[in-house]
Amino acid sequence: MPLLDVQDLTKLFALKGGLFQKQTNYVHAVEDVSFQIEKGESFGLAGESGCGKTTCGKLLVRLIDPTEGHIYFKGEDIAYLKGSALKEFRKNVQMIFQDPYESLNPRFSIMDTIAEPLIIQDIGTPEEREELVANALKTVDLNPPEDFIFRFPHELSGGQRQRIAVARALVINPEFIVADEPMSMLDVSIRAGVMNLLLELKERFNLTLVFVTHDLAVARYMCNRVAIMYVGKMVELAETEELIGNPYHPYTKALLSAVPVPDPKEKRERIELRGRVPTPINPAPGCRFAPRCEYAKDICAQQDPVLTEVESGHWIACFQRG
Amino acid sequence: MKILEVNNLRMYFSTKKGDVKAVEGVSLEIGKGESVGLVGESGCGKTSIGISILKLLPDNGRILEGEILFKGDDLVPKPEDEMRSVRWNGISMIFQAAMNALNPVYKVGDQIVEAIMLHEEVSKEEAYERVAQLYELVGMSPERAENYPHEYSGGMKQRAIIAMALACDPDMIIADEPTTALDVIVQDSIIKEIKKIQAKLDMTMLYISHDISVIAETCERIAVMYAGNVVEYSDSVTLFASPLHPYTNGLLSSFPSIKGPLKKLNPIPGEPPNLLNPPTGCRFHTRCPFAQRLCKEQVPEFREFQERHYAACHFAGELSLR
Repeated sequence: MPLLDVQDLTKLFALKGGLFQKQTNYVHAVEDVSFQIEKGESFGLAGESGCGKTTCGKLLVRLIDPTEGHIYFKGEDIAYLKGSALKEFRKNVQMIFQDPYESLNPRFSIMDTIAEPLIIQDIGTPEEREELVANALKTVDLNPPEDFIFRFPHELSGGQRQRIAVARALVINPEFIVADEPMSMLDVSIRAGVMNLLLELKERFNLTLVFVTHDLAVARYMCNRVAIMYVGKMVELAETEELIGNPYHPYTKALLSAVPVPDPKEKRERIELRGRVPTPINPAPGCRFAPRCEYAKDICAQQDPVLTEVESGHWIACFQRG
Repeated sequence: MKILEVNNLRMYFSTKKGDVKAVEGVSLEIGKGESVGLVGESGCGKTSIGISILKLLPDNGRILEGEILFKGDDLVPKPEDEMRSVRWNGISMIFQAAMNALNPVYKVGDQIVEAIMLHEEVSKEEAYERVAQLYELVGMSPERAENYPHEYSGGMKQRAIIAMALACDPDMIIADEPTTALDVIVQDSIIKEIKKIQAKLDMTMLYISHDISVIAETCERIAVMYAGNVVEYSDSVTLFASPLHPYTNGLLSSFPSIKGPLKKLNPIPGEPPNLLNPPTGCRFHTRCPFAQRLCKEQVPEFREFQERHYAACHFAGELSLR
């Protein structure tokens, strides 16, 4: 049984119209997305800004409520949990946010920040909590913990703050972590350290990681499987090396061809796309990519392609497969 | 022929806590028609060099020492009214996030016309004619000059900003992170446009970025900065194949790539120093795996090792890097 089984997950955000506007418009942030994640996997959700990758990540940890669909966590549907049942579920999941300058409360000391999930979940006595916080700091290589425990976020650098955010996520010993672009605000030399740390912790604690990112080079380093999203839809899903080496979907191909390579001798072949990313507000029927796709046929504008397994483990949502 | 020569530039910002030593003893030469990348982490002084060249320093910034020879003419002692003719006509700058600085209540075309008419004796008709040509050059339809900024996408705004930088036919352009906030596919098309224009007009470019993969694709030569110093400067291929400075090496090993075999990243330990009190000697010695006593005591000279391959390291050439 997969750790996480997502079925037809949909999230629509209603746009408030004017007083006399009869029809409400919806942002189709995530639409009919289905996938499974096995225990111990590192799963990448990748795509351009506005493709729904962050919304999808937030749905998985139930920071927002889905509009439709199901999320089975160890066989139990957690998509519509409320109150104490939701709180119980959250003992198992944590989230790491993008910007460590904003995700840490400036008035909380590091102790308060990391201990907060413990207090919410009512774990341990104050002394035990201090012990747990110190251990969490050691785990993220902030040594010695006494140097950090009573400091405040403004005293720390970006890399240290992101390590605090990681420590806060780890302190209640979750099974499943969603990390939303945790490197994108960090400097290059610091970023590599945080990436290696996350990979190491994933192994050590047998964590399941969902990694939301716009950077495919980072996704390649961090994830064993990657899903590509485009305007709320999942268009391709495969093992990372397979996806990068053998992409099927025309959008994935174009996206991969646009990634700059840190090698001046490398001559990339670019696939140019016409037009631009369509709005996710009341999108037209059919494949979302059809208006920009050079292979588009009549069917593409009429029917929604379903994500199907075309080869073992390689899923794509396109009528022209292969 | 050298179009720009920076010699031993020193630029500080005064703050309440003391002087921030943002640029310290930087020397750089750029030939006509060359594209040079200035790469480094945030706070290393990349932008400070850019604004020093154009003398667009904020009130607390001052040039203490050094020469900035533009076509053989030293810009440092030049008074403000003479600088005004160097800006736009001689050197123009694309600022970071400049696309967000377009005035929302004026048509984009009018904003470019305003810049042209301020710097050159041309009629309004001629200026509008030139805007149309510029739009063609950056790959946009000239009618779009009649639109307001909110009618543009991010990529189009950035194209308009590039058109504006080219408006007075400058000899050189300084581009500060021109693609940083853009999505990867849009970024790719802007990079392509910049390269095309650069080749067509034989434009000299100084391209500032934190992203070494973008620099590798756009620039023939690369200058690597660390904590206010240029630590290495050479052609791109040599820099990637055989770097001389340990920081360059560290930077190259902390970047994931989408191409080639998957390599383990080796982050640089520690954090960049605070430029209020930079380390003595070589500013990188606190993080350098090869540091000796000499590195702490003596500032390494920025020397030419091979033809136009410079590095500032006591042990350059003796270390086994890459």
